[in-house]
Amino acid sequence: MDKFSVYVPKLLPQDERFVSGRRSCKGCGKALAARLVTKAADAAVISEEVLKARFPELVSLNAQSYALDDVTCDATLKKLLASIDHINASAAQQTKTNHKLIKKAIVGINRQVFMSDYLALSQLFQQRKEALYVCFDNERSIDTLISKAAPKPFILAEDRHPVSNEDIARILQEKQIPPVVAEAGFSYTATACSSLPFDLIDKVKKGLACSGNAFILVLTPCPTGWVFAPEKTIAVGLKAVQTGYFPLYEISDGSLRITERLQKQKPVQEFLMAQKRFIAFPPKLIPAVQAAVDAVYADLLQKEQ
Amino acid sequence: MKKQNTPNEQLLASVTTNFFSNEDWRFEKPVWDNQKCIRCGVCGLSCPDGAIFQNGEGYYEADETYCKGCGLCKQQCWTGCISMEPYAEPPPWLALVRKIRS
Repeated sequence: MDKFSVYVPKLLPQDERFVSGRRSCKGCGKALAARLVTKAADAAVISEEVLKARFPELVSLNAQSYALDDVTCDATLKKLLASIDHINASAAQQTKTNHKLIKKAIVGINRQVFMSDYLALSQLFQQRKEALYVCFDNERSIDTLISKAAPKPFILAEDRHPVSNEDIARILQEKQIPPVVAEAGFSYTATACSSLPFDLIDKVKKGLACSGNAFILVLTPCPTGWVFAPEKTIAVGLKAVQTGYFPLYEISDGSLRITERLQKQKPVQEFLMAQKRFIAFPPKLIPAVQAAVDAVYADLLQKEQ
Repeated sequence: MKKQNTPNEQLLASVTTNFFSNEDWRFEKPVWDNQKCIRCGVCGLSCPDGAIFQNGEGYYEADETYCKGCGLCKQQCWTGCISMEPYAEPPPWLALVRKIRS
């Protein structure tokens, strides 16, 4: 956390709208990001009592998302679209005297949905509902790369397709979702990280204030999946930003702006070696990762001008 | 075939399911040294569970039913006033595991 922001937490709303409990692991980056989003949204979050009275299905949507064997994707999508409609309608009905102004519906998406259910998601985006989509990315996509790049097991003769530099470049390029989404007609798209809370809160507020759809991709370090100690969640996320592995930028109305500039770019090796899942990653491939990261950042710098 | 719940039952289940206690998986708890604490609130912001709150004097405390003992608050503290202390009583499942192992 930056030195200047030591006392800034005092300016944030003190109300806690995040429901604590056992749905997340120790030191979960995704839970931290979700909590920061609820803090930023503040008045935009509708209380559960209102929902119970007027729209009970929305409350049960959360519980149903855990039981995926019962609910097909279409049914979930229909409920989601209906709930966005309901929130937008109630936002239009509000008077100025109402303290809890509802601005926009916020939809949390897992990044894995982009891989497994791309059609459903494109269907959701085509609806042109006015909402803020927050996508939490805990980098499951890198796990396949690691397992492919790992050396062969002892004695076992196993043929694997060797990982090439192009594969690594493609996977890192696929992570750049915001420019693609911006082309689809979203008025505000951005990337953020749960390790930089004020940046994330600022972007969520911008996404709520803009007219039209908004999309934010949030990097959420995962102590269980990435294999590191739970107290290092924020430090690992900072390394991802400082090495240029996950550059922070925003695109509003077609113009791109980098929000966290790399003054002294650290080598990517620092970020990779902070996680124990990269322990069997061959060192000869690390220059390829560095080259891919540099290419993505150079591309962003070019787009900014 | 699974029993289909009515919407009201689903609603009840979403409200009454006991998500709300982490008492049985924690080993350590954060303890604040109030003489060093500058009451900045960085620990409360960095807690993934929202388990840190301000008491009447303005100092910070952890809610023991929600705190998982991850230690992020200790790592983020500027003055180093937070230390992790183990609980006097181990979680109840640990005794069961030890019994099975022996």
